[in-house]
Amino acid sequence: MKEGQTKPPEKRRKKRLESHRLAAFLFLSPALVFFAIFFVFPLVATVYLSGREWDLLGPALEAPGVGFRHYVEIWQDDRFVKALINTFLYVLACIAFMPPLALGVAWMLNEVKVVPWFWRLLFFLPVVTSSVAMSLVWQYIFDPTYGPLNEALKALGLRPLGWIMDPDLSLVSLIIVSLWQGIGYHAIIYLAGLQGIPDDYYEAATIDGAGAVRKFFHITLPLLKPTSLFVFVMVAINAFQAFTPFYVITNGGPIDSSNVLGLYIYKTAFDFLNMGKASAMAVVLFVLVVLVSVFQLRWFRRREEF
Amino acid sequence: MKKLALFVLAACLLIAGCSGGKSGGNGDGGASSPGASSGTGSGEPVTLRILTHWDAANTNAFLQKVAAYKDANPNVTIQVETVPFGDLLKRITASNLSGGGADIYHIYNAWLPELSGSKSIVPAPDAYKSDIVSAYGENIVSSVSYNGQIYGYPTELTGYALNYNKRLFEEAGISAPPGNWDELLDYAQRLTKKENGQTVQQGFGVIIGWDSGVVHPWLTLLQSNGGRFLSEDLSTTELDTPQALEALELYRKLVESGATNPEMGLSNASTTGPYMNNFELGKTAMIIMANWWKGSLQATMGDRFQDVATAPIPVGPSGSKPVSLFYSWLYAISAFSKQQEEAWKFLQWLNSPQGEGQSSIQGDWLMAQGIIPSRLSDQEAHKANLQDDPFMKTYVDLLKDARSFPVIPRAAEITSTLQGHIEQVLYSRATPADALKAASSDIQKLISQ
Repeated sequence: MKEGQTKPPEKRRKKRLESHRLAAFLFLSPALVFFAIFFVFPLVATVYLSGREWDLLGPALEAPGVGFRHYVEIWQDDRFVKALINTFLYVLACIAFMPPLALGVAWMLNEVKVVPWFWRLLFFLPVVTSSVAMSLVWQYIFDPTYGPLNEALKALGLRPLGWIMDPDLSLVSLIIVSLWQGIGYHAIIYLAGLQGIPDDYYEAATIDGAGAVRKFFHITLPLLKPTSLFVFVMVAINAFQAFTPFYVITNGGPIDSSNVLGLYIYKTAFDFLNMGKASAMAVVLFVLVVLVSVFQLRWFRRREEF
Repeated sequence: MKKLALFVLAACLLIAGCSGGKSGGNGDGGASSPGASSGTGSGEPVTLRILTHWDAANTNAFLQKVAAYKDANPNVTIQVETVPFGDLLKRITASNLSGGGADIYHIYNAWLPELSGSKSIVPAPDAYKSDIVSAYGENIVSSVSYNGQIYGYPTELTGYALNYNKRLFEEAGISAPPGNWDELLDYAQRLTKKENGQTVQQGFGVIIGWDSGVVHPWLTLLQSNGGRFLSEDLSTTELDTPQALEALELYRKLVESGATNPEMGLSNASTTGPYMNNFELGKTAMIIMANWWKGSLQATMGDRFQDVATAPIPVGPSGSKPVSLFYSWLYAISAFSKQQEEAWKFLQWLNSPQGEGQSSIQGDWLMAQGIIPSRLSDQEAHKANLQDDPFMKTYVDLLKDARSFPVIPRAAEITSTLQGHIEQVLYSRATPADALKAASSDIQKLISQ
């Protein structure tokens, strides 16, 4: 008892720290195990498989090694190059349109005072709707022969369009679907950001004679920078990984006009049974996502001096 | 005390996390694995699981028909697992990875090279092999064989024929289906209607977005023009021939004349969709299609199905007779099945005549769906039905000269590649000559790999 009382405080602190660390580790263990099994292992396996000729049917470990052959092959595959270009166009369109539209919706949701929960729910519904069910509905909406969209155009005296069956419009159609589905989610994030800006800044700006536009560009936008960074990064990552609407609505067609990397990787792996090549494409996609995310982070950091 | 509680809570979370992961791992639910479900000795309970792509109605009809097997073999239970056609091969690969899955796979013969090469399915044992060889036509046996091995019981034959709407033909003053490409082009134009520049009725329909739906009909035109897709030994493409150029030129002419509108050819992941709706609703006058869609047409069109008629593939300028294309399906046994002998026994029972001169249960079931059975005794037993049914008769007659879609490795990628090049012409993005040159080069590369 006496000994315990005379224990130096430094030792006691260290012991407490160690036990806290152990507890923290134990708390984190389920998540770490989950992360290792479902994120780290697949990533390592993908890199491993990209150097193998595996058809998914036999044992993966017995698949013959082909070195970097798949990485060379994919650049000679016109369909991969087309899918890569389509993916970039899609990502750029999402980055260009999603954040401003989401911010606009968030601003409206922030301003509206009549049953605000209803409007938030309305914009958030597409986010929680089944992606497959939603894609089937959009396929019907865009159908050139029976779709209500063309009926509406005809009713307005406009020329009906080919939409998902037109190689020039199929990607545009899918961008529209993605915007419709994604705006609600990002608007809610922006809404949280908007509500986190203290009113004091706006009051001070009003006293200084600033108008609504100046307030938006000099208070709202700069203070939303952390939110915008998150939105931009998430929009880009989600766009790079786009799959379901592309698979259900157009299956990449017509003539690969809406084929994106996620879909082509899936087809190569599970339709063409070429897991090695698909894995090489997946590694390229992974690198692209990392590069674009790092670029966005740096781009935002460089503009910290507001 | 506080620390102890902290540790206990953390340990509980860890245990819960681990056990949660385990319980979530079994995706299939319900049926136990083949190995665990039973032994193979007589009298021990056996559950035979069949993996296929049938719809619910056909599955129920099948289970009713095979109930008799349970009467004779009380220890055997037959279960059917169905997935959409597009997911069937994926399910088989997933089963392989887990080392389990169904005992019997109902598979498309184009998958034979991959499934047999990876030893996912087993060759028929000698006793069943001789049964198959003696009961089916040579070309059918050949379509379920690869590298000299027979891999299962052939089930159905699917061929292609020209389907047309008699009512639309009558309205256009056309008395008979086209027999050659000049007539096809002429009739297709006469059967096309436009309103305000928009096609409201197309003369000849094509399918877009579904590889086989695009490729197979075009190959029937190529073959009916004296051409071939691949050489006899399957080692080279024959797409760089005048016959192939003429066949793709036909598509170009149909599109340029407005008689074919590719935008009306959308298909979905279930291989149905607007291309089918357009034919059912009388917005497409002619289309080359497989016999399996008869059941769907009947169900959707009701009384209007009597407007539907079938005709041989129109013959091209370089051809001498209609040469259609067929593919077949087979029941194969999974290499992972622990009850292969029971499975072969069941398949033999299912495909054997129920009595002298009678059809097999499989034959009856196929005929009920409007599908041509491949067993000779089934065709004989249903001869009257096959010949009396004008829709089916065309398909049956065409089978005599029809060629099987090549059973080669990478068939799916080859089909998808050719699909892309045909669609390029249908959308006027490439000339037939350029599309064929590119297709020939791309496919040759795939064959050579």
